[in-house]
Amino acid sequence: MESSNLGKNARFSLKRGLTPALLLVIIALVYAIVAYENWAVVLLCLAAGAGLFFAYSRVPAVKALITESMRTDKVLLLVTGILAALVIPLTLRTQPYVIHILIIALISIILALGLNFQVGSTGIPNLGYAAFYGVGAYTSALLSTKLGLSFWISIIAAGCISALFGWLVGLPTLKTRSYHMALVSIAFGLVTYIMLNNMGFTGGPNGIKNIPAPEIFGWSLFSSIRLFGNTYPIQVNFYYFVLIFAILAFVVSRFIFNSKVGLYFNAVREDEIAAKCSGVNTSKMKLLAFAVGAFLAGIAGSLYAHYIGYISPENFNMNTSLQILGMVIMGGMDNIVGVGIGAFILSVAPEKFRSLADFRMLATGLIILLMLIFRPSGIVKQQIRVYAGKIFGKENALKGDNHD
Amino acid sequence: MTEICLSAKDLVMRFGGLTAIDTVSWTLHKDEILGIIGPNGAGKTTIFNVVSGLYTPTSGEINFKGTVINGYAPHVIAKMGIKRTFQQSRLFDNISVLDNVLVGMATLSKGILFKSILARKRLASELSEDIDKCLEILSHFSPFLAENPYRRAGDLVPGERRKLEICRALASDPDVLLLDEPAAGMDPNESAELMEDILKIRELRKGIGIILIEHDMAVVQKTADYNIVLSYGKEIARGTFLEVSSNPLVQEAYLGSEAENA
Amino acid sequence: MNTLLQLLISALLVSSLYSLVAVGFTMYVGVINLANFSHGDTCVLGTFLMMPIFLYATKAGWISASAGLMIPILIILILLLTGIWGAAVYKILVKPLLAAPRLILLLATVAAGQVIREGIRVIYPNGSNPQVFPKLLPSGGFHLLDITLGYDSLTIIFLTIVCILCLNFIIHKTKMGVAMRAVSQNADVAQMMGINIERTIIAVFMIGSALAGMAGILNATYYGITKFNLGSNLGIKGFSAAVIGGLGDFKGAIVGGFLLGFIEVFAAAYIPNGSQYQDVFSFLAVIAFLIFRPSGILGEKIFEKV
Repeated sequence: MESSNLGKNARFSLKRGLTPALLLVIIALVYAIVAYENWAVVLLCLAAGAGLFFAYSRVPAVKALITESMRTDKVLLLVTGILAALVIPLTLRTQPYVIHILIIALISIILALGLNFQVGSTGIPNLGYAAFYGVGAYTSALLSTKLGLSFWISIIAAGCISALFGWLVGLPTLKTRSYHMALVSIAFGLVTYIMLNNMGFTGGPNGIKNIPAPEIFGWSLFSSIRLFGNTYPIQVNFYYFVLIFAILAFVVSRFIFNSKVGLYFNAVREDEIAAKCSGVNTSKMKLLAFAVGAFLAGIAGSLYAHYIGYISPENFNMNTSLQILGMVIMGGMDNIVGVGIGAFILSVAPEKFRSLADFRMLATGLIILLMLIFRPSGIVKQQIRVYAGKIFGKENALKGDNHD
Repeated sequence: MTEICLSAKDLVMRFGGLTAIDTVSWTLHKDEILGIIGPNGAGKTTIFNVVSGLYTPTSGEINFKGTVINGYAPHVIAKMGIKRTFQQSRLFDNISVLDNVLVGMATLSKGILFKSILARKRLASELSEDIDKCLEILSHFSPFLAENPYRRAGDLVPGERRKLEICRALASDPDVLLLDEPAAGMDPNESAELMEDILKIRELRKGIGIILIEHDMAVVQKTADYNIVLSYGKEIARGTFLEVSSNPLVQEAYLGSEAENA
Repeated sequence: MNTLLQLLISALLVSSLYSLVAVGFTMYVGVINLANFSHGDTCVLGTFLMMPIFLYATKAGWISASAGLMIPILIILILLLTGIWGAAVYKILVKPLLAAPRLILLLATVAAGQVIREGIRVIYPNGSNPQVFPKLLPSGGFHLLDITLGYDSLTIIFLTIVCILCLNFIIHKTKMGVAMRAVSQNADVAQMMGINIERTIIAVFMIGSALAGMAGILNATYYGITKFNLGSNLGIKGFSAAVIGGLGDFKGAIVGGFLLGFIEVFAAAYIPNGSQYQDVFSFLAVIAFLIFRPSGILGEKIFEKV
């Protein structure tokens, strides 16, 4: 099938490499938006981006072109993306703040991927996700500051304890309907916040300070490095460090989506009764969604704590939960790429529009509202699971529509 | 005498003050198609809900392959070998046709998370076999579905939805299949095809026992070996189609309720 | 013994406030099966609408120091305003999403709540800080059996009862009430019987929002302050009360409100360091109910047809 299509369009040799090129253009636009303070430049790039998106979604010819190209150039696309991600911080030597924004964006991506398991894949309305984030951050921070444990032990503990917490929180929800669940999630989100704020050993409202940076074989991420004769700010270290985790989170999410786990998550979301009668242990799947989502939040929490070096309960309140939720909704529920985009936008925008800092939460709420009314499926719609490629022993994808 | 696969003894289901099922008993043998008929509200779907584990019976016993399954969780009962369809097709609308049938297989449960991340090759080869099997089942009932496995289930027409639901139920090679008004809303052509499909199920899966709830008497007549007639939760007659259709009590139950609604 | 009685009065008061919020919340659940997470924030909105109007009225001299009549009129004005707000929320937010999966609508109300909350904070001068709320209730009180019964507490309890009775009247004795009950049981059939569904839902939103405004104002005037973010807390308490009592039922909302109020007041009093964690107790109670008795004390009125 693929070969016949390529043969049809062999005339358009420029089709080869279209999407990677497009990706570079988009990355350049985003780079300009994030790195430049000049509002004229920013607005111009935003307009260009909006135009592209408009063309993609409204002009069928463009959409077909891009979709086709994405299929054939998958590997090239991936390589381009990763290369870009690796190279970019090197160009930002004099702008550590921009690198900082990118690091926060990467952590947000991990968070959004975690929440996506619960809300997007399994359909559980979790409005208190920041609790898992906070539990992870505090666990990691306390283990390294109070007990002097190494970062690597702390982060693993953070993930596991968060996962356990997620599992415990999931238990009451097994028999519940969506609004009960929303309530329980808000409740435990608030309970966690109040506990963190009031308990002595968590430092109360002052939080925990002087959280040590991660060390790799004795080399602390806090030391600046020299590359190609230039000194680079420490943000660069953290950027690559967190980037690895983000890529891992991405890959794991993709594996889960394409497996029976992802499939059963969807079944629970679509129709729990039908899922039960088909033999799916819906309780187990829901608990799994909680645990896996919480695990990622725990990892993200640990990364945050050891990067910033200071955490307080205010980092993990209801606003945070809603912001992460916004990322999932805006990006596209149950769509890994979409969620990543949503996370990027909603973490960069408030930092970028710092001058409008006061309006940040209002803007987030409005964005979520507008997205829900006008494009509830999110920026990137849900993709149909396709079983193709060598791993399934099927060289060609099975025929059929790819619902977009 | 063929083996009994599913039986119920003095089944009672009460919701608060309402008795939906009042001391109903039946036996389903292998290779048998049992029809449950009766006017609306007679408690027929409730029986399915009880058997599939969604409700726990107030009293009485349901026996499946020698085990009393009262109070078992629905997914356990499904794994044991009882599958069902629903009056208003309950499909997983936002995922593909193929995915729907794959869920129906719901066989794997130990360590799937581990496998999906760290043992992908093994998982993939299992999935590959499963996919082949699903496509095969689909091809028996609907070439359209078999050729469009990635169609979003919510986009299907009602006829194809019914077939998909049946395929999903059959994916796990069940011993008992509960069909809840599969012919609802069908025209004569479609219901003729449905009758063929029901008989085909019996061919494809040797030894399966089917319980059929239906209002379309043509379908019942052609497919059911034996029937039980319910009215207001109680059994009022049983026998072959000929026997029950000529039973004055049955006629009154149907016509009587029609007169009320007139 | 005195403290016990005093606590009792306190608990009655807190319970009334929670019940009022819960009852308003139940309107949405009962009639259109919607969990409106912006309900609490609408309560707060009522208070922030009241303050500027009250200030203006005082400046314009309509309210003298001992004014009696003007205040109820102002309150009714606010209720109208919140009611209109409710209708607007329906038109803009809810109507387009009624056909969407419930999760989307639920999330939309959450986002709406946030917009209200942050909107207040950003628009109202000095919005991030707590605001002093005017004293609208009669001060002073009297002594009975060695405890002080404040007139303000009694007024609140009285007004709550009045509101609930009014609501009861509307639901059972007016045409609109009949329509609401019909829609709550079966919207399709109600429509076939000639009931204008849209008008009914708008009425639900208007009444629900007015109740929210009332609850917000009573809450604020008792404690003397209001703040932009009180809504989340209040809304959750109201929701919790409705769930504990049994979702969908007004009696349940009242029972739940009382249970929640009593737990909170008595836990704060008798458990060391209680007041710091008093919210935690309410929430833990809610979670406990959701685990052991999800249908609430009086039993839920919603069930899923298989």
